[in-house]
Amino acid sequence: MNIAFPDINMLVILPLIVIFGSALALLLIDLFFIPAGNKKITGYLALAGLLFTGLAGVPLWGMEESSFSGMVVVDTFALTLNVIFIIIAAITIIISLDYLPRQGIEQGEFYPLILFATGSFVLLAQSTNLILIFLGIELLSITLYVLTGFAYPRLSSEEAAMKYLLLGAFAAGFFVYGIALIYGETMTVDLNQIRLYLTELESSSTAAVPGPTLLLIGGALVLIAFSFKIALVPFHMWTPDVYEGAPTPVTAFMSVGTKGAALAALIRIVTIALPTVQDAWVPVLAVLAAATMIVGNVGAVAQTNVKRMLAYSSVGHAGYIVLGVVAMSAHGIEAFLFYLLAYSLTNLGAFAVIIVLEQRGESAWSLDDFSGLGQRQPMLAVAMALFMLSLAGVPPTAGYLGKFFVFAAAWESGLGWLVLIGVITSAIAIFFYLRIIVRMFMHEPVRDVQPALHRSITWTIAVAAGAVLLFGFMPNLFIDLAQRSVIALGG
Amino acid sequence: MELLIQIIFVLISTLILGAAVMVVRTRNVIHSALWLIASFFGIGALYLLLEAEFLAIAQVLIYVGAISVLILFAIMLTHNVTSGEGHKFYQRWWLALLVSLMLFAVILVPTLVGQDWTITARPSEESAIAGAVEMGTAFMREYLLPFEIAAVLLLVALTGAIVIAYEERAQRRRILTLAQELALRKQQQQNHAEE
Repeated sequence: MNIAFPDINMLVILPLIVIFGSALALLLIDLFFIPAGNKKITGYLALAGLLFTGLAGVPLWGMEESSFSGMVVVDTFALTLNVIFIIIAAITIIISLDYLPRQGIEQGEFYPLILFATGSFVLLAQSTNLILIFLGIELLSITLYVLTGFAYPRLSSEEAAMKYLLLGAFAAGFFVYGIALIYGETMTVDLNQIRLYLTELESSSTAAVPGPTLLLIGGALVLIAFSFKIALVPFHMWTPDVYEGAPTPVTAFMSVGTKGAALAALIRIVTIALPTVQDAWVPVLAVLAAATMIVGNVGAVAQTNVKRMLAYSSVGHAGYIVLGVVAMSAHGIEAFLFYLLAYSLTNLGAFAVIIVLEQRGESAWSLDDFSGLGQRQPMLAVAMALFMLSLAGVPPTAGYLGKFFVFAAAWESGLGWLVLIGVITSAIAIFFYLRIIVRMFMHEPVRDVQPALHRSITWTIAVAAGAVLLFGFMPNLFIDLAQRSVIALGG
Repeated sequence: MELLIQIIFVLISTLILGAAVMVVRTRNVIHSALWLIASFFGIGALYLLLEAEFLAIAQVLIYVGAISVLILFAIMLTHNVTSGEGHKFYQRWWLALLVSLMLFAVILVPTLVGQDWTITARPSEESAIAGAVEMGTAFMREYLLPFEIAAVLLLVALTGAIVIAYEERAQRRRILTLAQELALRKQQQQNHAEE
C-alpha cells in the first residue's frame, strides 16, 4: 500500500501555525510554571507570541500562493489584515494586564484564549473555502462566548455570554444551511470553483437554463450569519447587552476584531465567488448598511451609559465599514482596510480610557463619571476627547479620513443615496460624541472617580492617541500598503 | 423504485421535523431530550437512504449514544429543570413570529423576486465520499486543514468549558466595591463593640 503525502505548502499557513502553536504552548506554560498570583507573566508571553506571529508574516510578504487544495491563500490583503489583527490583540492584552486582577477575574487562560481568537481572525483573512470560513467563525465565536462570560462573579457577564451563545448558535445554523444550499447548486464549497460555475452558467444562459436560485438563497442565509457577527441591523439586537456585560477589554477586542475578521471573510466571498451575481446581493447589503448606520447612530443618542453608547456607536461604524465592501471596487477595499485600522486604534483607545476609570467591582460607565474629568485628569480627558472626535469623524483625525475614503469609494460606485445617509448619520453622531467632551471639560465633577493609571495602560492610550493623529495627518503611511493589498486581491 | 424512495424520504423527513417540533413544544425538558433522540435517529435513517452506511452508524453511535446521554445527565444534574412548570416567555408569540418573518423577508425577498424556481437536479459526482475509506482519505488529504482546525476548535471549547464551569472560588472571589467594603467594616466594628 502506498502512502502519498498530500501536496501542501506549509509556508502558506505559517502565521497560523505560529499563533496557534504559541497559544497551545502558553496554555501548558501557564498551567505548570506560572504562579497563581502572577498571571501577568502569561500576558507578556502572549505578547511575545503575537510578535513572533508578526515576524512570521515578514518572509511571506509579496507572496501570492494558495495551498491545502486551494483552501487557504496567502496574499498582501491577508498579511495587511494580520498586522491590524496583531495590533488589536496586543492592545487588548496590554489593557487587560491590570484590569483582570483589579476586577478579581485573573485567570491564566485569558491570554491563550485571546491568542486563539486572533488565530481565528488570521484564518478568516486567509481562507477561500466555505467550510474553512465556517470553522474560523465558529472558533472565533466559541472563544468569544467564553471570554464574554469571563467576569464570572458579575451576573451581567454571565447573562451576556448566555445571550451571545444562544443567538450565535442560531447564526451558525443559518451559516451551515446556507453552505448546504450553495453546495446543492454548485456541488462545491470552494470560492474559486463557485465563480467558475457562475461564469459558466452566465455564458450558457438562455431562457431554458434557470438562474442560480439555490445559490442565491444560500448566499442570503450566509449573509444573515455574517450580519449577526458584524452586528448589522436588524441582526444587532444582542450588541448593547453583550458589549455592556462582557469584561471591558473583551468588549474592545470584540468591537473591532470580530467585525474586521468577519468582513474580511465576507469580502473574500463576494469578490472571489459572487462578482457575477452582484445585482442580487449589492442592493441587499446596501440596505443593511443604511439601516445599520441609521439605527446605530440614532440608538446611541439615547444612551447615558458610555459603554452602551460605544456599543451602539460600534453598530453604526459597522455600517460605514460595510460601505467599503458594497462599493465593490479597489478603492472600496482600500477604504475598508484604512477604516478598520483607524477605527480599531480609536475604539481600543476609548475603551482603554473607560478601563482606567473603572474601579474594582464597580463600573464607572455613566456619563456623570466623565463630568469634570478635564479638571482632574487633563491628559486623560484630552486623549478621550481625541478618540471621540476621531469616532465622530472630525478632521484631522484618522477617523475623519476613514469616513472620507469609504464615502468616496461608495460615491464612485454610484451609491450616492448611501453616502447621503452616511453623512446625515455622521452629523447625528457628532451630538453624542461631543456630549462626552462637553461633560469632561465644562461640567463640575459629580462624584469622585479615582483613575487607575498604570504605566502600561498610560502608554497604550498615548500610543493609540498618537497613532490616531499620525494617520490623520499622514494617511500615506498606510494607504500605500492598502493599495498593494488590493492589487493582490484582484479587486 | 424511485417512487418508493420518495415515499420513504417523505416519511423520514416527517419524523425528523415532527420530532424537532416536539423538542420545543413539550414542557418537560426530559421529554424534549427524548424527542431529540428520535430526531437524531431520523437523520441516521436519511444517511442510510443516501447509501452512506458509515455516516449512519456514526450518527447513531455519537448523537444517539453519547450526546443524548450527556444531555440527559446534564438535565438531571441541574436543579429544578426536570419539573414541567417553567416561566412563560411566549405570551405574544404571534407578534414575535410576525416580526421575525418580516425580518427574514427583508433578506430573502430581494434575492428571490424574479428568480426562476424550476431547480434541475444536477448529476452527482462519480466519487462518493460517504464510506469509511473515502472519508478517511479525504480527511488526510483534501480536507486536511479543516480537520486540524476542527481539532483546535474542540480544544478551545474544552478549555473554555473548564474556565467557565470549573470555578476555583478561592481565586475568583467576589470583589466588593469600596462602599460595600466600608459598610462591611463598619458592621464588623459594631459587632466588635457589642461583644
